[in-house]
Amino acid sequence: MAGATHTGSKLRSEGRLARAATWRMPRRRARRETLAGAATLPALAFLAIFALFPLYEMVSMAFGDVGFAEVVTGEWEHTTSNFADLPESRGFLDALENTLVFVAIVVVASIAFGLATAHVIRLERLSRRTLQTMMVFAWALPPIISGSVWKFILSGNGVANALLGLVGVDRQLWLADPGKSLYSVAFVTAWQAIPFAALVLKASLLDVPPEQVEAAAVDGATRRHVFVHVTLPHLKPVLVVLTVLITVYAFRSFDLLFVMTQGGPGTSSTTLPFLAWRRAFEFGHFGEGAALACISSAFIVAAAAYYSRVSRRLDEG
Amino acid sequence: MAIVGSERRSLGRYLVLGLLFFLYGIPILYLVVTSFKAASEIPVTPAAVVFTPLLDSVRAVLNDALWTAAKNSAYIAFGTAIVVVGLATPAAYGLARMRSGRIVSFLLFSLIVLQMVPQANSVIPLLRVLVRLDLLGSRLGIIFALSALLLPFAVIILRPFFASLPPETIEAARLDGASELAIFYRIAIPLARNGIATIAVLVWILGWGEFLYSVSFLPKTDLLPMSALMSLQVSSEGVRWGPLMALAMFTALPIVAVFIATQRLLATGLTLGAVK
Repeated sequence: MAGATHTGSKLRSEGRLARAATWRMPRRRARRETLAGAATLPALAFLAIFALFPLYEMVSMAFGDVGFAEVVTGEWEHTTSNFADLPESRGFLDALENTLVFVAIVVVASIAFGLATAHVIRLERLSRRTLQTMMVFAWALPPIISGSVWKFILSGNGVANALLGLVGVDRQLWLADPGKSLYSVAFVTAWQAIPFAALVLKASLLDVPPEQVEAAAVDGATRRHVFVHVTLPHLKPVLVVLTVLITVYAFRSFDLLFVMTQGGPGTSSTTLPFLAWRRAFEFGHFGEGAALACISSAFIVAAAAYYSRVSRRLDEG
Repeated sequence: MAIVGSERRSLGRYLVLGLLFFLYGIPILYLVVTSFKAASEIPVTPAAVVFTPLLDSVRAVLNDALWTAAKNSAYIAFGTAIVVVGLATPAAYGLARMRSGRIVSFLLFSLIVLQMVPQANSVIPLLRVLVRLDLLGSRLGIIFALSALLLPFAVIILRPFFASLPPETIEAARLDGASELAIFYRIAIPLARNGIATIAVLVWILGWGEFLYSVSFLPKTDLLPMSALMSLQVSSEGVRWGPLMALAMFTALPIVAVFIATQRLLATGLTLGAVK
């Protein structure tokens, strides 16, 4: 555009053309911009109805005395008790604690094992490729299926106890013992997340500049030193993104909890989003469920804000 | 010294390898093994892999209910894949071509938020929305709810494919007189083909295994998909492991088929959402 105006000042006849171009160009560009915007409209309209509007309904239900009948009629009495009663609700406080423990275990286990796995499958050998295929399959398997199989494996008369019995470990109730159920489901949730973490970390590990590793080795660095001072700093941004993504993944977990323990025994494996669902669909207290849903969604908005800040910084850097 | 060190290292590596093979092989092994084991043997020798295979459990679940559930799952899986790909492709293209950085980053942020809202939470107000639209208790309602859940993710993943389109290619097409629509159909879509295929496969798999919306929105009738049929078996008192595993095996079969056909696509698809 700047070039066009420049020639225009030199030659009168071309100048007119150039001027014409300078005002026509933005208009054509604006039309393209409108077209690009229009292409997003069907998706945005769909999301407005089925994703955004429900969020609005969630808030309005949270401030209402809503049972199933009220969901159908759409009319309910206003109340703030859904929120006001929460600090004294045992179920809420337990779920909060369960969520914290559950998410922490899944994140730490997924990243630690993901890193170990990435280190192993990085080598291109038949055994590693076979393992990678098995792991991607485990990830692709619907949680309802893997949850059912793990429920059988971890049941009282299941495979886990049979195998552990061989090495002299006493029979354990992995899912029926309130002191173990949350950890067992966290283990299976991590099992499903590890393939994801491993593949992401593998790609990143292969990117570590070999010159830096060699240079460090020449300087007499031990393997641990190379890992801490060369590999880890290289992986750091990916580790941060993975931590956020797996936190959200663990926080959202539902299917595995539902299949394996249904949040029990009692409330021992009920996390916050699961409690919201239970209050609404199991007990018919949709207002209370919506209030809990508002609280757990607030966590997610915070995580999303952090994620988009981190990933933007990664894009720029 | 060095030799001892490297031996120890490779020992550690083999231990990790062995442990992983064990952890990821065991569930698949026992899914199949338990499906063919006699009901009386399962609680007594759950871990045994040498036994007389029986078809009792497989026969017990091979009935009309399974066939109906399979059709429902297929309907939900294909329906969701069509809605998501149909809406996400133009949206991702539009977002990639928009110049206004502020609008684009606002939209992307909103998509990330929507993608992260727990399904167990959005299911509560969605009940109200489906009642309003008279879609409660229908499979179409499940397709729409699930599409809304997966659409943001699809757009986020597809956008970089279109953003990597060279502007020169578009400019050249334009000089040849191609309309904006022709550029989208003839140039952009073929170039983003891999991304679109990945999304279609991922959404199909997630649709096939969809569970939460189906349990919450569908009556316990012949509209239930495979996943919900399985959960009915699990939640009943005293689980019959043989038929449950057989049912899980049948539910997994189409996934295995899709997996074998699109394995490479999936391995890359898995990591797509993470970094970009």
